[in-house]
Amino acid sequence: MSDFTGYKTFAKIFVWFVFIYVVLFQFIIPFNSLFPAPSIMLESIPDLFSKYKFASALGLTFSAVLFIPIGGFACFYYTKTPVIKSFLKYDFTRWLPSMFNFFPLVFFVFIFALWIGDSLIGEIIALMLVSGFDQKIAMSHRIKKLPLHFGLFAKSAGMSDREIYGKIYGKLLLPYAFEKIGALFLSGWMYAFFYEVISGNYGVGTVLFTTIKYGDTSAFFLIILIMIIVIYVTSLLFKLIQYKVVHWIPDEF
Amino acid sequence: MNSDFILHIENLTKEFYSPTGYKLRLFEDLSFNVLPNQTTTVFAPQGSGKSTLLKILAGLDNGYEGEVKIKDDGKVLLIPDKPDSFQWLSVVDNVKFFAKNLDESEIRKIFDDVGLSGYENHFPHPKSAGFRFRISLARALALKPSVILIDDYFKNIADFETYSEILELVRKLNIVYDKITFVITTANLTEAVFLGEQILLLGKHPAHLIATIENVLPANRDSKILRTGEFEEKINFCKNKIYEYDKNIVLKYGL
Repeated sequence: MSDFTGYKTFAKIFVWFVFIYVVLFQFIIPFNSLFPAPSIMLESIPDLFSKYKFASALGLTFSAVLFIPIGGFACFYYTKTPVIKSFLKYDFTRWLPSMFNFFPLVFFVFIFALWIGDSLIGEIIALMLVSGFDQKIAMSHRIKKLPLHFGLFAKSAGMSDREIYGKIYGKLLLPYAFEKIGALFLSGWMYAFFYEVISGNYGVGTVLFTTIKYGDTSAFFLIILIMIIVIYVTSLLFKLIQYKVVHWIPDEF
Repeated sequence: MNSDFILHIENLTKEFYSPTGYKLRLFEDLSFNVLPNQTTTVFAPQGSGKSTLLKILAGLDNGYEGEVKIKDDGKVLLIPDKPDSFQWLSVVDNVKFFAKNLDESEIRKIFDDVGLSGYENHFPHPKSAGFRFRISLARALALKPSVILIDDYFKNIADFETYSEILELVRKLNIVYDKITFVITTANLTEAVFLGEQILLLGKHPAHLIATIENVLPANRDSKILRTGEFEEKINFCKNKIYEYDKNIVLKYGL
């Protein structure tokens, strides 16, 4: 499950992209209306931190996004037994999450952004809700395919249903929960930018919106570049944690 | 009623509703006894309810009519028809997960008996179905049960060498652990005859007993017996029993 091939490939493509960008816009077509020359981007770094207060904006957005893996894992860990039980025992819980297939969860971010507005707490609640729902939907689909034969021996050995749900089925689902949380961690950045652009007066989304408003393309592209690196590194760290926790190769189901 | 039994099944009837809403009768008045300290094989075609029968015997399914009695309320353990060892635990931890109070010497003996010595700290996943079956057996033996039910597992084992080894292992364990009764379901007649001291031939739709056959092959048989005339005779005897019962049954059994 913990495969780093995608990360290695992305890193190679990114380095090539930066190299081509530098060659193209520093030496071949340095003057154009959209893409700034790398030297100009480098000159705008001090402005990014002094005028746009990018460091504190990044800190705030990062702290909001960080709640997704922490909250997602806590949500999985502490609710796995009742959730597995309800999905296995009561039919209606199986189709209930499917309703959200027709309702993009990003609408929740939109609603919260307009309702609660300029608040880091509001953003965190919106991100937690969206990722929590998204995770439960993904898990509900996975629980439908759960290999129940893993619980048969345990049940015949006298283990209670509660123990089987928590200690066996929960463990079977753990690798898939981690995969989902990793994906949510990535999409969480987009949700956070979306929230901040709509209503925030802080965060990277707001800074990005400001650079567009003032036509500061060098700052805009610099932020994009930094964010790609930040998202890449944090995702890689998450993947390493996943690799440590889920140290086995799970059976596919 | 024969008092010399470990499992007594009388007039077992089970019905269920198919996903399309039809009422199906899986077993009808099924009665048999499982004799203690030996291996009973249940030979029945695919889809005849072998897994459900074992779930009922293991006490995991109570939705039936009739009587299922276990002598002295002994412990009955079920090894399902697919590998079920936990991938996140090492081989030894898979055993300790269920048998927490087992001491090291007991674990070592079980591992020697099932052929897992030296693999204590390996993990189940990259290993074959045969290896994972050994783990399932070790887990079961560690709990000191009265009966071990094995649900048509051997079909998962791809190569013939491992397949023969595993069948021989089950035969050997039947002798070493002479206080444990094995009940093995299968859709493979060769398996049923090789493993069983008592063979139950079941019919399908609904499942019912066609014949109970006492197997007189030597107790400590190995896979060499598969090529003997004596074994071939036993197979033919079982086939004839099935043909006598219903000449049109051949396709259902795949014989």
